Amino acid sequence: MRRTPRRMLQAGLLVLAWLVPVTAAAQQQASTRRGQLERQILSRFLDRAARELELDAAGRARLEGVLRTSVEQRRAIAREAARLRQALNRALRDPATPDAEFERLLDELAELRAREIRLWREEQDALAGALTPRQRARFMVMSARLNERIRALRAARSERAGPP
Amino acid sequence: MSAMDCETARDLLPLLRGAGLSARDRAGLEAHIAGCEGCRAEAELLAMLRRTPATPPAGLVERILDALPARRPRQRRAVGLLALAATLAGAVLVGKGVVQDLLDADAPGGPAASADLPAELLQPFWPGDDELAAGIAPALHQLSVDELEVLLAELES
Repeated sequence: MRRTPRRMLQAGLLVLAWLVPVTAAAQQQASTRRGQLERQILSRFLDRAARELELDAAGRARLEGVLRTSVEQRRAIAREAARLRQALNRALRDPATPDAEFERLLDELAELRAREIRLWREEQDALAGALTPRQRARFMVMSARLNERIRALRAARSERAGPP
Repeated sequence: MSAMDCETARDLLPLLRGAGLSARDRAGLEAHIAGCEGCRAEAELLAMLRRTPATPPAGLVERILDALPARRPRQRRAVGLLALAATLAGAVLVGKGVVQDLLDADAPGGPAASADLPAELLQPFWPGDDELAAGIAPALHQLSVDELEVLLAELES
């Protein structure tokens, strides 16, 4: 059978109609799995913290509230940082970017840093309402260890990827 | 009002220019700067950095661009309607990926990883990745799904 352009177009559109929902479903699935894993990790980490700091159920709940708020706010900062990084990349690549634009972007970066410092203080205040000073210090060490492990996992990924 | 100490003053200095300070903190900070030579010098340094035009050093952009992989030349030849349809499908999928990246900017492989410049090159500047300011929240958004699985297994062991 001779394939006419119209038939070929129909075939292409059929492929398109199949591919888009399949890919969207795969992305949705990965996102759901990521959300599940993050919730489980936070929960296991809180279990461990509650055990080591000898928190009762109410204490664990208070700590969980602080931690979940912090996770959301730090994620928002990371999003902003990514957006700013892209904007600065574009500005650097364009020889016509005016100085005023660089200044605006660097001011935004400074403000983001300041926001991060404010958040750090708010976290400490919130923790002080949920833990004793000794518990707070121990929890800080636990958080730092977990973040060290996260950095190690990222570093291992970079090593596997090799030099660019 | 109790006098502000140097540590607090230096934490607040970056906010002095904007609207991020309460009236009380601003008054305390200004009073502290007036009486503390070290913090005044720090404030002047910050002000000078803000005034300095943010022009990249000569040759920096070229060196960065040289380090990037070469772009592929555009393919201009038409290869039939099916290829056109496939290209359309690809464009839709890539476009969706870009939108998804913008929505999930903090996910591994998102803009932070796929931006034009290597992320490591500018890493020290970026809030959210710095150890000192890491805070108490585990930076789970920096991990892939596979790495999250590994971490969960470790926490459960």
